[in-house]
Amino acid sequence: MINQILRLFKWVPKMLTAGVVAMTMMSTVAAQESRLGEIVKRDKLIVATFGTAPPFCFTDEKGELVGFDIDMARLIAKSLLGDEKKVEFVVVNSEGRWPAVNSGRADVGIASTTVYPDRALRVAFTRPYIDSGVSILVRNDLGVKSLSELNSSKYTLANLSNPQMQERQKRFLPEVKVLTFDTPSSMFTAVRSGQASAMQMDTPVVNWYAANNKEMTVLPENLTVVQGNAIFMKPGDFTLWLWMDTMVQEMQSGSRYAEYSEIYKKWFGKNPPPQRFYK
Amino acid sequence: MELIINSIPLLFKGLQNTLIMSFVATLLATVLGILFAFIQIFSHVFIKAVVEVFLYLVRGVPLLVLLFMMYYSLLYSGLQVNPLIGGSVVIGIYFAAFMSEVFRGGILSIAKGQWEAGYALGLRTHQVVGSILIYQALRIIGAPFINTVIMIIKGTSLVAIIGVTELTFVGRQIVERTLEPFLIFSVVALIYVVICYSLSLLAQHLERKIGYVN
Amino acid sequence: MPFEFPLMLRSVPILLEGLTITLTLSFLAILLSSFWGVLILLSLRTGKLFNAFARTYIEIMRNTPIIVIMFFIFFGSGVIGMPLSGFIAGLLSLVLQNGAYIAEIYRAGIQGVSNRQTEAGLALGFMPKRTFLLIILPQAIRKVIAPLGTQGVMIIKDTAVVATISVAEMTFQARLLADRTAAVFEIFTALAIIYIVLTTIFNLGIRFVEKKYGYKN
Repeated sequence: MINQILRLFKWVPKMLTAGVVAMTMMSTVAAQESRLGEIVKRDKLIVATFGTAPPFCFTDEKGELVGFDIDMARLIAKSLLGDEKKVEFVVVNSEGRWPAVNSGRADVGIASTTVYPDRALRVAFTRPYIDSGVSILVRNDLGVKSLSELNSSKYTLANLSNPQMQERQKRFLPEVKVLTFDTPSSMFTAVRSGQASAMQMDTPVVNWYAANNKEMTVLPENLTVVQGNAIFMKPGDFTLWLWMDTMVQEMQSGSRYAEYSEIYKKWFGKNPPPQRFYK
Repeated sequence: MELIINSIPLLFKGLQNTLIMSFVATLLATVLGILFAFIQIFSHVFIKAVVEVFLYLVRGVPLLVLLFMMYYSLLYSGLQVNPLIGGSVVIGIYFAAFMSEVFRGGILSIAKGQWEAGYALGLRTHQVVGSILIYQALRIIGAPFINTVIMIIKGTSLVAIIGVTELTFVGRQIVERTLEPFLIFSVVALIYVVICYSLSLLAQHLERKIGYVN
Repeated sequence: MPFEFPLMLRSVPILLEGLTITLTLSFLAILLSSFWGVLILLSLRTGKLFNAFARTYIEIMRNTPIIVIMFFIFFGSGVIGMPLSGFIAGLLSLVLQNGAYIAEIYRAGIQGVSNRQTEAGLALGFMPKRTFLLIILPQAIRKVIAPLGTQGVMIIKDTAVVATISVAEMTFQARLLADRTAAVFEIFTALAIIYIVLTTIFNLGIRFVEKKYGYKN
């Protein structure tokens, strides 16, 4: 019997080594540099964004990237690295935004992206930096005044090619004909040209289109409750997430509110929600 | 109209990218095409089979699907490769399948007797190829080669769907801003037609002047 | 990233939802462009003016990328107040372009039929038009089965482009699915395999027809 016990002892050195290796690995993982450290070292922020989603991220007549998200990205770069020019934008399309951040191609994504629980399975969202929701833009000459009027097969709705859009259309406008595009700007072109009667898109986007085009109006009913657009990044990096989330907090209710208001007013023509709800 | 005149600088930038992509893709397709043609003619059965299966698969899939695969693979792998370069590479590989047919036809159509005559004269292989065969092969290859290049140029228009700013993409952007699809897309089509038709005239000229019918 | 085979298999049924449209569009495009090609060919053969029109048409269609034609028709139709669905716009574009290619294929086939046949027909007392219809044309058609087959494969592959103008065929379904899940590589591999199966079946069909009716030179 002593022999059997002694035989067990031969495992001890192996277990000790395994234990030491495991602990070293764990501490390496913990000490693994956050993406934030990389950004500071690189001295440049890489942001994934769209090029076809006014007013958040789109291109102007000269082909330059402009928009609310773009300006906000520059503000973030200024706060992090001291210079608003230290941003590099990676333009992706709708399905491409997730792999862009998850693969490390971009540090974060600021791309007119609404927070949904199923999306949160794949990326990490900060708190929302702007209120959103989904509204419907419709052409005036059709005389449609409400959602229920639109719900008929003589109208065509322009959708974006993501699953949330499809589900909303099936729920709210089951009778309507559907055209699906991969960019908001082509949806808008379709409505403008008459190919579609209406489009569903983020409320700020729809409001912006309506404000800049007299022939369009926004239907009073929203297709969703108030939602939020947020910055997203690869999940698991707490340090980066915390900084970004803190930055959004500072923009909406803290030290960067003035700059945030400026950007907000520039693109939406009105003031953002006040810093505090109490006086 | 002034819309066209205003759009020209943007369209020109797009055209530059189209031409760059076409050039890179053609280069790649030619090199790979020659390689595949030689493998198909001269190689051991096994390697030949692998190459032929590969070429068959590439030809059976739409170029657009291959472009999407490339685009998402790039994004997922995190590599810092521009979709412009990635697109050119994919187009190059796709058309290498067509190019290999062109080169294969060129090489095979030269009568075996030419090889034997060359050897009989005491020339080594590379001399036979370089001094005798190549001129004959070029006469046969010239026209179908240019036709494949025309297909490559048209193929670059597909990368507009993955957001690369080449000619078609720029055209679409302008149309979305101005709502003049007939005008702008006619100009875009005209540019493609001018480039491709000139090339096809060159091909016809080659076929007539030095074309070689066996 | 490891390739997940089960994910690929699971994406197949969703992709196949677009198969009906892909097949319908391909079938109609092949059928209609075959007929449209005949009309263009006849235009080529009837006098200088029609010939000039046909030649210009053919060269424009052959040298313009299919996507530009589709955008032209799709967005253009919206702007002039007669919006066409993506399917119709895509079908129209495919027919317009491939009709031109097919007309050229017919022309080459007809030229390939020996002049002696025409002479023989005329010598036998047939009128030129009947010579053409009864003697030349059947032989020409049998000659061009192979190139027509290649053109058909190209049409099937070009249907993928209509995904951009909102037609819910297979490539469109693939993109939509790719937004939902992260298994993008698996989804597009499955898509590629489906296309290869389609084109292989079509190629086998063409080879069968060629064996039965083909013209051995």
